[in-house]
Amino acid sequence: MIRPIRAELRGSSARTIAVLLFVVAGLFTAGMVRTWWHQWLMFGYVEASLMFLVVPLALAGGTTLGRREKRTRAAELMASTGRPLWQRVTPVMSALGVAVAAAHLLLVGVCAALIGATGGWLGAAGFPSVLVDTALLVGAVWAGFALGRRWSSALLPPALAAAALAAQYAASAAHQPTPLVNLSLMVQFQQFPWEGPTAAAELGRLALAAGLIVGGALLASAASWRRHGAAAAALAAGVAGLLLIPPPTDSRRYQIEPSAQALTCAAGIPQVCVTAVHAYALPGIVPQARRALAALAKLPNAPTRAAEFQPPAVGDGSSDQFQGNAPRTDPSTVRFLLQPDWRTGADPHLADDIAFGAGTRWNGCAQDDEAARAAAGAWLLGTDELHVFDGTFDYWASVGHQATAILRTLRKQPEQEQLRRVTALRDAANRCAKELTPILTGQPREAS
Amino acid sequence: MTGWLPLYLRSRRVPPAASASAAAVAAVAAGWAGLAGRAEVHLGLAALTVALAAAPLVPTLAADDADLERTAALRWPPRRALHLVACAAFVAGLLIAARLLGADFGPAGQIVRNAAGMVGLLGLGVAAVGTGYAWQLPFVWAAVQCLWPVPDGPAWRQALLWLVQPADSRTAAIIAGALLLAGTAAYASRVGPRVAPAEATMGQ
Amino acid sequence: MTPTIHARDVETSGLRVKAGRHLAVDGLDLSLGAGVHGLLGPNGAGKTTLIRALATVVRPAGGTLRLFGHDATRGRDLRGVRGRLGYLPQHFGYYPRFTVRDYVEYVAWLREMPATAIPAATQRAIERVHLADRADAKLKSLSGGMLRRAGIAQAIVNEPPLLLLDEPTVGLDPEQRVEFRALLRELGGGSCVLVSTHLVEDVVAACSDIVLLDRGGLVFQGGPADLTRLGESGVGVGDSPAERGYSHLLRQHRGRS
Repeated sequence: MIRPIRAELRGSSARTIAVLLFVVAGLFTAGMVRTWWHQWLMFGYVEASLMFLVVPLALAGGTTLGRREKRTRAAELMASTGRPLWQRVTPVMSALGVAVAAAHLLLVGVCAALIGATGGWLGAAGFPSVLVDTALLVGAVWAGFALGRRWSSALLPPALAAAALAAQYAASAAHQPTPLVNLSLMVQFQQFPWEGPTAAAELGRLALAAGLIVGGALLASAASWRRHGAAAAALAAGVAGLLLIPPPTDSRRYQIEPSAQALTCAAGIPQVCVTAVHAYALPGIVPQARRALAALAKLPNAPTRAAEFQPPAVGDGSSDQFQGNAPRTDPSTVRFLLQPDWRTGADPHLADDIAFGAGTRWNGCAQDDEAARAAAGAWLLGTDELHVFDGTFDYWASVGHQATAILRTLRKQPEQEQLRRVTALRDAANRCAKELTPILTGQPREAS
Repeated sequence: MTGWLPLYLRSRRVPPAASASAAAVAAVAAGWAGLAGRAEVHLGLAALTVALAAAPLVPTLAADDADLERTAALRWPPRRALHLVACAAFVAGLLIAARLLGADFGPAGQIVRNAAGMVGLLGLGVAAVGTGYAWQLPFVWAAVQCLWPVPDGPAWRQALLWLVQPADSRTAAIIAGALLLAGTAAYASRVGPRVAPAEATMGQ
Repeated sequence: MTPTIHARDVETSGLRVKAGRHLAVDGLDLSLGAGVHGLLGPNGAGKTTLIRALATVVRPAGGTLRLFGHDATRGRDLRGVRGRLGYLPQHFGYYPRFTVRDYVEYVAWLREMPATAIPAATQRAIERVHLADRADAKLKSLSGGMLRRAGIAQAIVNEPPLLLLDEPTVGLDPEQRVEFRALLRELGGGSCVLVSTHLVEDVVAACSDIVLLDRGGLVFQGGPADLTRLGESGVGVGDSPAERGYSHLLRQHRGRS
């Protein structure tokens, strides 16, 4: 068996198909480098979404190879040989599967090496999705191969690719969140880079992969109608698995990977910690974080440690998801959200984020009265402006005017009074108080 | 049926291919008219439909036996150029006619531009790698534009997403015109790489 | 491979085979053993259909067909028979980017030769058809005659007891045809070889037995000497005694029916 497989690898279009899939997937992966640079789990999202385009192409590629016997009219000679059909198709299907899997794993390997070499986190959590997608590609080429053997029209490859693409597109455009939405292999991206796909999401895709693999193998070796029926049943089961196993809404697609969210800390005091997926950025941000900690240390009972905010739940895209009425304060630790540049990992506004509201931005409270919080932060850092972002929106653009006025009022006070007011603001913010401006500007203190 | 044109069309299997094109457009148009609320087809889907309508015509661009045709006393380049332009006109006609089914793929100028550019790109592909592989790159490009249907923007993006630009976009018109010219010129001069004589008689 | 005691390699009785909807072989009684048998006949005589039926590619519509003593009319249980076949179709289909060696080895594997024996058998088959210098060239780069010889190589690689060749000398130049005839005589020593061809000289020179078909029925079966003798007696049309004998037999057969 090994000699025919090697002959097929040399002389059939299996290698061409694998190279084509590699190039297409590679181009798209390269185009989305900003998303996955340094980030292994984000790469998993990119690669899973690529399947939307690559699986139809794989179907078409498999079909061109399947038509080979009828197109070259070698079927006549093959029909006079004795081996049963399943043995006859095994070398070419093995060669095809090996070539396509190798190409995909090569792409993943290259990107994983890039991520690892630049200091990104590479955990076990990202590997199942890679393997599932590889199986999906193998299933797609096998299913295409089987269909090409059955119908050897030249129009079948593009028609099959177009149909697969159109079906996914139509599914993704469905109005309600029905299970049909899962038919589209393009997935929503995760809000935070420590979120990985849940088992249900992966199992759905794995079901489709298994259905394609089994269905393709059965159909390619089918000499009887029973086998045809079994192949159709396997494929239907796979599609059903894809539609029904994962939840129909993208937001439940992800879960927090503990090892990705675990903190790693820099040496020295005060301690500065980031999540494992941002470890590459740690050396760059330590000076800023320590500068902010030193600014916070002006207040009594200041935190002695800065750590990246570790959300307790999967992000849903709303800006006030982790802000409610119940403070989650640990007085010794101030939290911050790192928004590193995709390439350098630098976050020039980290100190501002830590100083905002005198170290209360990520204490679990709703961030009302941003003007006062910004003023307090600017006072601590000794600057006149404070730039804190919600995504790409800079709060200073909307509250800067007000904050500047509050800051001017505050700075007119004697030193001790300024210190007392800012401390009071911090303590009030830690109790989820709503009105913070009166504390800084000297209006009657709110009883809360 | 005698006369050169009907025999030529039959030799290239144009009737089945044209029917497949028409069926593809009809399927998309009927589906859209039935399921969507409005007549204007989504930009990305319109882009993909141009590719779907043009793809079945690609096998008609090459003869079964290139060596036999090369020995003809006719001059092929002008006829090939005409064939390509006729394909573009046919695709444009199909998409404009889809209005009868209740799906509006855009203003006539936009449809003509898209059809011309797509068919030109396919002609370029056929000239470069032959009919077998010619449909893949245009298809992927159209699929990308289908998923990223963002009109206007910087010039490079208008050029990249030329299928989804509005009818008055100059960049898209230039791209489509350039593709049609280049495709026609390339296809008129050659139809794919040289095929070994032993491979020449294999079915399409 | 256990040797079976059977009368003849090929035995047919009232064989009927359809080509599409047309009954191409109609009530043929044939018995072939070791030796080179030439299959002659006009176009449409059913030669290719007969060979396809013997190669078990197409199932007979009626009558009996026994290959090596096995009943070959049903599709099942043909595996053993097919392993002992060699077949070169009229239109030799191949995978263009395979090399000659790869393709012959592939067919050898399909014919269920033991894996260890395949490389040596392939080399021998390629040398016998004088393609050893092009053994690692891709099939698509070969000329018509070389392609035909590659086809012959894949047919003989498993040294089949039953070898079916449909128009094997198409595209071969005269020198190559002479070499091929020598190969045929060598093969006929131990196997049953059935060669379908239009070229009467090839048949006369290489075959020990001639089977003449017309419109699906047997016209004549005998030695080449009989054919030539018939032609020398002045009947028939043709440029050689064999051709004259051939045309005379056909005309006689058609006149009778």
